[in-house]
Amino acid sequence: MQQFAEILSGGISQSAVYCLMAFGLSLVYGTARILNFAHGSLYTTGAYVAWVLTVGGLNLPMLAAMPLLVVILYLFGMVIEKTVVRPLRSTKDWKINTMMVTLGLAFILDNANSMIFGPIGKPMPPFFEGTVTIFGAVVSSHRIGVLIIALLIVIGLELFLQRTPFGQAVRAVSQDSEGAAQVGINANRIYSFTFGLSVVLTGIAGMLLAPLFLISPLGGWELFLKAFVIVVLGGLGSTRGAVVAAFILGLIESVVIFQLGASWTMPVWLVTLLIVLMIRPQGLMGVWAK
Amino acid sequence: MLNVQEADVFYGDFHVIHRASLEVNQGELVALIGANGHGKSTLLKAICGLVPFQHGDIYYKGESIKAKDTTKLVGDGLVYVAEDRRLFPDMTVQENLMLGAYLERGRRRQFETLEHVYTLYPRLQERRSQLARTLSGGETQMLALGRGLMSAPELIAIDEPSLGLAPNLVANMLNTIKSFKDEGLTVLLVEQSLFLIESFVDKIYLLEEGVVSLYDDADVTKK
Repeated sequence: MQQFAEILSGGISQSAVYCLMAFGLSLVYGTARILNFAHGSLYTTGAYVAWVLTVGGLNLPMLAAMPLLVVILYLFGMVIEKTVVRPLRSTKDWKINTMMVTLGLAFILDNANSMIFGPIGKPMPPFFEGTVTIFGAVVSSHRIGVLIIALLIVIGLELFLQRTPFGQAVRAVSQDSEGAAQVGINANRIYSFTFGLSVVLTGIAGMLLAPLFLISPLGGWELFLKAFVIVVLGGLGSTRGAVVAAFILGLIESVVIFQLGASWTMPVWLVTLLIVLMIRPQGLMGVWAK
Repeated sequence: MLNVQEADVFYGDFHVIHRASLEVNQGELVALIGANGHGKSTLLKAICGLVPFQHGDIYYKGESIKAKDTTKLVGDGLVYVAEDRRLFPDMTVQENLMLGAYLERGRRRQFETLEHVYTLYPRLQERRSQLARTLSGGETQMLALGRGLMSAPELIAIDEPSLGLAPNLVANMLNTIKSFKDEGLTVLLVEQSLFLIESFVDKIYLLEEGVVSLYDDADVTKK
């Protein structure tokens, strides 16, 4: 039982990180209708940048590295949106085209990371040392720290989307981009903002999980696939759905790892997804049936 | 205030509007009428910068709109209200209205305007925390017009406001639009027929198969 409690608490903090990844993926799909296949490679890139800022080079303390990481990743995301994605928007079949281009971008990032950092995984020390005992379960402080950071970010984002005029504009574009244009919202600004934000989120996820797994050039793909399943389960484009789905699937994962082993996670997730989609084709909180 | 000169508008590859010219002066309520599928909405969208036009030019307050996007035009007081409403379905009535005041222009007087909209449509005030997707057809039209007003327009271009409304609501809604004019707004109103609007419009343009012509001006003023 105690062992299960440990795995469960690990699952919860893992879920919180999935939230960050899935939130960004869903937000970009919801506003710009782009399925970003480079999301996992950007996760890895974020982890490498965090590594360079801290133990891998500059030796900055966490508190200094984090804001710097946010700025770098945000600018990187905006540049990708402006140079790679936006020019395709006016073309025919732009949805498929952007998908393929982000896939190409993923390969470029993977190869660049592999060239710069080498194929061998980089270790990252935990941000918080030691362990905490909760209801008899021994949990590493790092995992608790990850959970708290991720939850604070998600709550902050939710408040931003609900309460601020710019957040409202982001939601407006995702609900009706033509209506948004009619009230004078510049959709391009929203697109580059959400893309930048999603790169920040996936990069922070990469940084938070780096101490638990090594940072390796292809390490982001598994997380991208997982985030994708989460986003579809939650309802494409629904950020709240993504948060709920991340916790449901994260907890399922921890049970599966305990009972069957980690390699069974994806099969069980996909069966869960199939069952939910048979009952609710638009996903848990999706608004479009399309 | 608005001057369209020989504009051509395409919908995809389809040439919808042929050399359209029309003029709306400050304080006027001008109607553009025509049957379904003759390009009224397309022309109105081109005027509001939502679809591009070829040939000719469109001037708003003396300046060509060619180099301006919709954001600029809305910020300049040219506001479009769509026939299909284009509301934000998963936001409340009040959130929809407040988004009308997204730009500086509307935001400056957002609370006064909100009060004004609620006086105009008490129904919206009753439903202010309800999601837009739950409104009836009449209410969505009120919300679309209300959101347009929140942008603090000088010229409001309204596309078929009577579409999908119950007949008893149409007269009411047209009266409100007439009141816009009385408050000093310039209105460009698109409708399918002259029914109910003939008595209070200043000028009527007729759109037939993509060609705009001035409907007998003198005839209207006589009435």
